[in-house]
Amino acid sequence: MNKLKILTNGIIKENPVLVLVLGTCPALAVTNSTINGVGMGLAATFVLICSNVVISLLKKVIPDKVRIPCYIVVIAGFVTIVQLIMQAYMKSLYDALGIFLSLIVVNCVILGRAEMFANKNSVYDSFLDGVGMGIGFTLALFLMGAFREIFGVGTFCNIPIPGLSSQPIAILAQAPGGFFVYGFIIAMLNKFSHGKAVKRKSFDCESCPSHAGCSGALKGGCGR
Amino acid sequence: MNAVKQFVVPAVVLTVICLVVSAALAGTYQVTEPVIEAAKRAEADASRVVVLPGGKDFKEVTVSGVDNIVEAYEAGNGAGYVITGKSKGYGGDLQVMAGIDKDGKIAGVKLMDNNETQGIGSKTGEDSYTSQYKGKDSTLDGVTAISGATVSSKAFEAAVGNIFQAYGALAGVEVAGPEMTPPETIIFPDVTDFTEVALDGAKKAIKAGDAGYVIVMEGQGYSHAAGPMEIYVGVGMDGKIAGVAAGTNSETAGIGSQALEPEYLKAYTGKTSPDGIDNISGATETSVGVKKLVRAAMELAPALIGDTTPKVDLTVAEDGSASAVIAGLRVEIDAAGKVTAVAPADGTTDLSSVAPEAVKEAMDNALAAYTASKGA
Repeated sequence: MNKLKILTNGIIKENPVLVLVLGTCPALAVTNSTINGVGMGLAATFVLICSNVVISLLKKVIPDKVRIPCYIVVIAGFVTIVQLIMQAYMKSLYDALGIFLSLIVVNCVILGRAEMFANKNSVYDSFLDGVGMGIGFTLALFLMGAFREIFGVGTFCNIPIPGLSSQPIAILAQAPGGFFVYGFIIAMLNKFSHGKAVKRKSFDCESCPSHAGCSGALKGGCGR
Repeated sequence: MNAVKQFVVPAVVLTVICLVVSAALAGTYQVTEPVIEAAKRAEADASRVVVLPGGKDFKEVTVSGVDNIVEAYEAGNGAGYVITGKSKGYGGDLQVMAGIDKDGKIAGVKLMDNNETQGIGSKTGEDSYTSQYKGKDSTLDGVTAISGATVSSKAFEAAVGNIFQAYGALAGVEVAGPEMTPPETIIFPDVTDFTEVALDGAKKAIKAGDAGYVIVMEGQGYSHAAGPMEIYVGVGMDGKIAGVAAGTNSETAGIGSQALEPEYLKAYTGKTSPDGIDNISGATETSVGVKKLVRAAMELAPALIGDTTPKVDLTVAEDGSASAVIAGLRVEIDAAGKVTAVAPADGTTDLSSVAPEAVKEAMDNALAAYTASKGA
């Protein structure tokens, strides 16, 4: 596979949040401000790259039977490292992300990439995939965070925007606003890709992280 | 061999991965732990700097001998102390954090944990209230309570008072309490020379110049109060109550304390006994406690001011009727114990120059003397 393609795959074509619809929980919860969205994105990216590399390295060693526990342990280890580092050097971001930082452990993007990509591909490819998916994740969270902050609070990166800060659409910064904006951005993406984005190959049943344990897989897919 | 591959290898691999990850975590923890600790300390310091600007490197210190102190910190750079004290507010304990600079003046106060009523007592946490403490010394001179939130305001003041006591203990200086009018001065505001005198049965007795005496009684108020209450009973030279005031007590703020307010206690002024004074609804135990103490004080009063009962010159006739001469009035009493006539003792009949109260008092005293003679 073309290395550049692997890298760019995650950014738009297979954007984990907007196309694969993975990792929606943090995407909705922490994107009430741009900085939180980007911070969460970068933290997840770091964990994603590290876990992709380590899992790819260990793909021959890890027996199939215990692969999920092994992935979880590796991912949890990296998450805790990120947590400790953030707590030490980025206290305000650590406080803002709260519980969602530790929930990166069960972030579908990371587990999904470990299962879909890292355990089948070389270390270098997995690294590129991690970077690409991380950028895509961060970008999506940045988009949502920026949109919600600009229109919901009237600021961008805590800088007030004249005209908007006096009359913000407060609900956009609240939980329901997260769903609105999320749906809106996905709709826009599908509109401009003419629906191609949702039909990507790696979005089919076999590449679903739950494929192995899913009852719908026997019938050829949950949607069928 | 197959069994090994199927069961042993996965377990071993998982264990090894866990061990490696744990080791990596332990390493990270070793590196970040001091930084995290420092950040936590800085954060805690930052909250203290709010009340003590300029303070740095706070160190916890222990305060001994002062009650109601939650915690106390000394600024490492000698800027002063940050002490958290508490007192009983309207809805339970109310905690106040105050910064006291090196001159013993308040640098800032902040309302901490409390259960005061939202929108009423909680106003004591607002800047408009707390800012008036800035620059005040331990007398808290000029601090005014929030109208409508008196109990919370007083509790706030009391907590700051406790903080100053702790400050005194820490800094080793004598701290004057808030300027409180002593109860004896409340009763006899015009008297300046108070001298303590001995009186058996009372906690304390004070001679208030020539105006009278103050008898201090101690007894129980509310049965669940933390301690007894002190009641100051002022007795004038005429044997009447000149005033009643509350001393130290642990009555419930806002409930029992109502029976210790001047508004209620002024009902005693001018009487000779607590008879006929209403209890405060909801503060019955405290009201009754006050009455008991006033009654006890009045029983002790004659020992100080002498017997003030007017001298009654009673002549009982053989048929049981009597004639009593009191304070210039003659009271005729029939055999059934009823007053039949009152007239001036000098033989005239004009009573218009005599006050009706004096007539009534004379009648009462005459009847009392008559009843006493019957009993004897």
